[in-house]
Amino acid sequence: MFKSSILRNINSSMTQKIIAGSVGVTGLTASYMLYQDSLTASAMTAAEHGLHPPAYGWSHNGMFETFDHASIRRGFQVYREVCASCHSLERIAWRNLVAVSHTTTEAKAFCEELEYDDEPDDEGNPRKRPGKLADYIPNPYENEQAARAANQGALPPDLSLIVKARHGGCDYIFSLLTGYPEEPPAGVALPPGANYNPYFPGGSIAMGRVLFDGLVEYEDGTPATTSQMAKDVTTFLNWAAEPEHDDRKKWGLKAIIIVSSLYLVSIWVKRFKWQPIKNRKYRFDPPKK
Amino acid sequence: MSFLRDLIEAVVPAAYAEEPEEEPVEETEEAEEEPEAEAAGGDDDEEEEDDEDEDEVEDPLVALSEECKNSEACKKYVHHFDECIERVTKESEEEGYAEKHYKEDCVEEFFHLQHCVNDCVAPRLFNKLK
Repeated sequence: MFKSSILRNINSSMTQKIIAGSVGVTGLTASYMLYQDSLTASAMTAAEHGLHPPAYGWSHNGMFETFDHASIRRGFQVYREVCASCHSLERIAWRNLVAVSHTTTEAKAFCEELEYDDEPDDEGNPRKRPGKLADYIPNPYENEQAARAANQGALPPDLSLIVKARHGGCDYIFSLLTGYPEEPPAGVALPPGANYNPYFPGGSIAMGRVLFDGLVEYEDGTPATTSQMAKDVTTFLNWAAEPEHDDRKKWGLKAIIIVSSLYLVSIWVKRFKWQPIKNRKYRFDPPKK
Repeated sequence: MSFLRDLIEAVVPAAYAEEPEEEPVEETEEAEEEPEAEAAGGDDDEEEEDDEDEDEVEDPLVALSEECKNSEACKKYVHHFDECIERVTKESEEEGYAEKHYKEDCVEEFFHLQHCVNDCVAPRLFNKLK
């Protein structure tokens, strides 16, 4: 009786030791492997997130500031001469440019240079007609497949809403356009056909540097430096993404003025109405005996 | 100023001209001809680049970032970046580099340097652009 209980005790203490030992070994091995893995971790790195763009002093940044429309005009020129060969601008029609950056005649001249599909003739043959103000800016490619085929599988994104669609907005677009280093930092391996841009998440971007000094000739004589063109085209793209921007700020200003004056009036009305009540005086005259 | 202008325009009906021949170009400063021969940083205030009629224009961004890169604040980042390039280049010349499980790159060092340069360039660049 006594012996067997000792045996059982030894047995259970041995089992406990074995269990504790194996748990310890497993834990240590797992920790060691995790530690080894963490030394070469390539997830959540700075490169994966991309370099954060600095905050530039855009002229339309302030609460009451509107777009620089001369810059929008220059930016449209840059888009038309440089970006439009690969990037579409689907949501902008020629009429949208009127009274923003160009006059009606200028916008008409732009669209009349192009041919759009017309209704078929009496025999059902497709016809073409010159563009109208109501036509949209044409896509450089017929469809997505054509765009990918022409760009080694990479799809140039539509630029209509690109400023709204990217973290950092204008600052990101500007930094991306001007931020191509002369060569990628040492040790960076790029897939064939890719370019290095620190602002692009992951660093490897299919679009190469496109803006070079003197690429376009501005009609207002502004020197067409890389940063100037990038600034103009970014302002233009911001307008394309937020065409209501100027009106919105104007309405905001009006709303602030009207609402705050109504607020003051309401305070005055309240005080006016409450004046007799606030100024009441209670007097208690105890009944005389 | 634009606040006041907006206020006035919101109250007073604005008159618009009947489509001018050319859109009036704002702020056409007649800048003096000042071809800049060298890109070396150092002159920061005297860079008037507006309205140069020459084909060769110089990007203020290039000059500014060069200047910022050489500034005291970014010195240590340049040092780390250069050191990293040297280290990685040396490593890549070793045998069996292609089969290595982990290859170091200088992206982080580059980012730190670029951050420093950006912080220095960003507040100044748009003053030089139109």
